Amino acid sequence: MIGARAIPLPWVLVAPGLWCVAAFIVLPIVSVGAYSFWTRLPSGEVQTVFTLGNWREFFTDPFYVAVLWSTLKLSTATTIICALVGYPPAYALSLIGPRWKGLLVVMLFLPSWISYVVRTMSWLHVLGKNGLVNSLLLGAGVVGEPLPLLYNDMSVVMGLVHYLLPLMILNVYIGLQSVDRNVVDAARTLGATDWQAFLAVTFPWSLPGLSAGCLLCFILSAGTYVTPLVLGGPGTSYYAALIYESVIPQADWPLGAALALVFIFVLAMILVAYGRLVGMGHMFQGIK
Amino acid sequence: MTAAGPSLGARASSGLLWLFTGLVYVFMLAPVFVIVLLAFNPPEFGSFPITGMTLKWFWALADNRPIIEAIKTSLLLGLASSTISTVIGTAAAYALARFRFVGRDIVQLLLTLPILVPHIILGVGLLLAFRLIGMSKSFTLLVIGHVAITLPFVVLTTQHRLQAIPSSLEEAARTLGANRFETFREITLPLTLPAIFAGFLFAFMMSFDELTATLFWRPANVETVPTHVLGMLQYSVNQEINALATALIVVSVALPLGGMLIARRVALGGRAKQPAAVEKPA
Repeated sequence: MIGARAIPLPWVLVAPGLWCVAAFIVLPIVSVGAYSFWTRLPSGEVQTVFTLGNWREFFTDPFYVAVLWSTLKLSTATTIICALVGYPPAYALSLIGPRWKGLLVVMLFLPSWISYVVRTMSWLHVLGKNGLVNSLLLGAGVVGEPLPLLYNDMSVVMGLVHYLLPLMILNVYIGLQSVDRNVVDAARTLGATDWQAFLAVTFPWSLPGLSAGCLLCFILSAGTYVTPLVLGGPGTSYYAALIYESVIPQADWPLGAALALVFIFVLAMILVAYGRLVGMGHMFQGIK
Repeated sequence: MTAAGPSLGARASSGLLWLFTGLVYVFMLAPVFVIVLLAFNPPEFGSFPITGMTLKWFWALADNRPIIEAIKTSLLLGLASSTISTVIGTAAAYALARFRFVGRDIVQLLLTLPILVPHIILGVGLLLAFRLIGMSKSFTLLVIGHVAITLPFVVLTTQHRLQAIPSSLEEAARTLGANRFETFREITLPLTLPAIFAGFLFAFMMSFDELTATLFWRPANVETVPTHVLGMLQYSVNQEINALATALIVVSVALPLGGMLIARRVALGGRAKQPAAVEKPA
């Protein structure tokens, strides 16, 4: 075929990949959009009849917006904690000589290779009534009764931080690699203290890595379903659970589709606002 | 402060930095050690106190039919989906790493951006798209979904490694009369085998670990390892889970470490066959 021969080689090579993205990611998001305007009959069947009912349900019942808001708050808290806790070790790793660096880096990322559900359940053993922390506290006589550490928002954030911290450290570490040590040394020679050199040279240069890490942590924690399910309590409300509940157990696909579309829209808005704030180039540096 | 050495303040802040870093290591590693420790504990309830040491919970795993089935499903799913995404992803990564073409940046963005789509959205989306064309949940849906999830990571991992290989070797082969395919087969492929292997291993581990989207796609009677563990957790945390989790921990630590060693071996072996002239000076 003449037509087939005319396609340049690079396009032939990327075509299957692009086709996958179009068919398995873009098209599904479009069909989520379509479903959100369709009617669910009382029998549970979905009819392709236009309705705004699913959207009316979302906007008139304050419950949905409240859960969305609490999800965004918990994800923001997780992201901030990851940034604060992750920066110092990343900085320490960037200072260390090549001899120990390999081992220390591998040890830090070891847990991130381990199954997500296993890492999440490990916190049951740490924070539970008979868990590590309570056993130590009871054994030392600090408390008389086990503390209720599990099944609340704090244990959810703890599990999320444990899950996402390696990602944050990796991004900050990559950002710190781009810092020119000569400029830091120059600043020191010119009379800056360690702190001044850090604040004037190292920190600004590491910001792209830090902002990429924050973005990834935020998106991943906002979309999490399993961590709140395992570690959350009766008061924990997480948006992904609403989507799951309406799509799988209740089989109300139009409502689930509307919930999912709101979520895509909110995340996209946050992405755009964040991109304006820190610069698009910075955001994707970490991913690459 | 005119002393030549580091000041007291500098030494104190450096000490604090390392103390904090040490605590972060404890935070990251301690929960994992707790699971492993508990898995050897004789009582049936999987929690403290530690009363002894036994291997019986590990032997019990081998007789646990649902767990064996879940492992088989996860292995099959992981092998199928990561093989497909390695083939598709390597082709795209090769084009992105080796060619300058119109629209390259857009292609790069399109192949990378799916990383930012939460799995809960991918889960709902692909399920509803399947319903739309009248298909129900199936193993095929799981494989397709896992290909979609792992593909961007294969592209990025492989492209990153490919860019590190000097294109001068390929140019030399072309100058000596090899066509593009021969060059790919004789030069690029052997040199990039570690990169392709890394992409495959990464994809396999991601697929083996995927949980959120899998909950949407799996047919009613199909359990993967993560969905099975989650299902068991709904009832209670017992020693079965601790032993399974410990086995998973050992495998997921050993697999990438082994992969790194094999990749290094392949890389060294490949280098040994090359003439000494192309060896980069250390």
